[in-house]
Amino acid sequence: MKRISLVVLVVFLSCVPIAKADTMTSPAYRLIFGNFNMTSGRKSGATFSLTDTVGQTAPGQFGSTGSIVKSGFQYLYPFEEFSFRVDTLDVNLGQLTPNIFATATQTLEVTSKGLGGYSVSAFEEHPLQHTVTTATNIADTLCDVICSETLAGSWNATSRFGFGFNISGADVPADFVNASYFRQFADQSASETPQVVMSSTLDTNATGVVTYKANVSSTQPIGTYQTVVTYTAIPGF
Amino acid sequence: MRKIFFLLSLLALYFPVTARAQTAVELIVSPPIQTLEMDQSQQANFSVSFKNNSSLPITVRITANQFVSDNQSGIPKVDWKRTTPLVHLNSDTLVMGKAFPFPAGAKQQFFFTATPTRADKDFYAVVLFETADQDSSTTGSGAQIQSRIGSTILVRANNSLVQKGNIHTTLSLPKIIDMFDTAPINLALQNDMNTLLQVRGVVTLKDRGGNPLETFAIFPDVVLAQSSRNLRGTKEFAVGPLFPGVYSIESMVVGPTNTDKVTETLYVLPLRIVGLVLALLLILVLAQKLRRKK
Repeated sequence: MKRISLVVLVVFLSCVPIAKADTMTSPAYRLIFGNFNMTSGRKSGATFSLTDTVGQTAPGQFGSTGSIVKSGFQYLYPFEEFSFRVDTLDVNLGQLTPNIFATATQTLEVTSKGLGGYSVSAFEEHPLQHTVTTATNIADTLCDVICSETLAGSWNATSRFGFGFNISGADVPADFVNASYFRQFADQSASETPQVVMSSTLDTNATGVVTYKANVSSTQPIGTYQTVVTYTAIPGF
Repeated sequence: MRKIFFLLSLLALYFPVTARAQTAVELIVSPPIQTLEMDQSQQANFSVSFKNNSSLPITVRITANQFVSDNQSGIPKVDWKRTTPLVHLNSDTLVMGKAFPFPAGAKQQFFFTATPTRADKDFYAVVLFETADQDSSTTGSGAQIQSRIGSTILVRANNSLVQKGNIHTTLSLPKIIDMFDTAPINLALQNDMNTLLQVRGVVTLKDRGGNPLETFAIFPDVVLAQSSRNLRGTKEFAVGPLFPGVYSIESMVVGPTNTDKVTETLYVLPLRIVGLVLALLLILVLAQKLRRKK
């Protein structure tokens, strides 16, 4: 019996988890991760996510002379991560044929946990540009009637030329009414402001599917046309 | 031997590897947001952890841009035109804005210093990690994609300074609703102070006698200096269905220099029931008229 008790005790002691907490210091501040409390965690509803801590020792602020870095619950979860994934770095529209839409798709994924949501904005360096004769480009689309970098418009007519994108998903702007609605990318070379293409004020795992579309006229010079599109994901507060 | 092979293949099925496109890139930052407070003429150090959670080595460039409130929600409105000189990267080898290689799967903590130009004025910035100048393998026409991820920094002016400015709330809701309907409550806060505010307060639904019927705690949202924001409740900001009568909705938000209290009246009427009764009466009158004609 004694032996069994001894074995049980040894097994128990070997399974005791190691308590880990980091302390970072510098002349300007002291940042402590980890705390003791009675209860803490997330409370969530349909429109929010709330965190609380009861009995935490010195919650929130840590500092020394000069500055304070606020961490800990109520302010933020120091261990929370914000992630952004793009499924490809090359969007290939292939060979462009006059009066036939060329399309390609891409998926954007955002995981946002923290105080309040996220936004993803987009811009292009310039319109689709001939890789050899850079003065030649495929202009940003004006859709069937009108569209811009801030407002989507229906684009079904193959007689309307240009380059644009559609985005679908739960967090996309409302003017992307359906898959036939397109916008121009904000053009950095024309000093246009990057535009938000996905956003939410909630903690979320969101996906947006971007459809790139181009159409050229028969007078468009033959060649390969390229641009660089940049997506920026930022956490909310 | 066959048995071992069979067991190994079974094990392999238990640990499937997720197949992903070779060119996919996933960037991760931690923490998403942090608040710094500092005394006058001081700097604050902070760190951001960055991970390249993909199977591709990437080239990364670190920059920082300031942002302001969008005056609606907590979505930063970034000044894309120029990077901010108020955030410095503390490194002997790396420089802000200059690209450097970052291996696949690697994670690194970067240290920064925030230096406000004025001790009594907040500034808000986002530190950006950008994939830079990837090699394109596209053969046809198309777009090369770059991705950037940010970590939000709220640098708060000295809290010990005497606060100037007030907070103002705007409470809006329908004046009249049907007894079976739900009325949404919109509460917006204007922060006229030079520093950000973490909101505290309640919204209370009261009957005609002033007795509280329902209380909503206001979510502790952050409202940036000199900006406004639509506030959220810890439960949905809406009232109803309610018995017919006159109700009042009172919001009380507490700021460092003033407490703002706003009251709005809500009339709850049996609109649908009255409409139904009127419609029935109309049908009866019309039916009687038709009978008399016959």
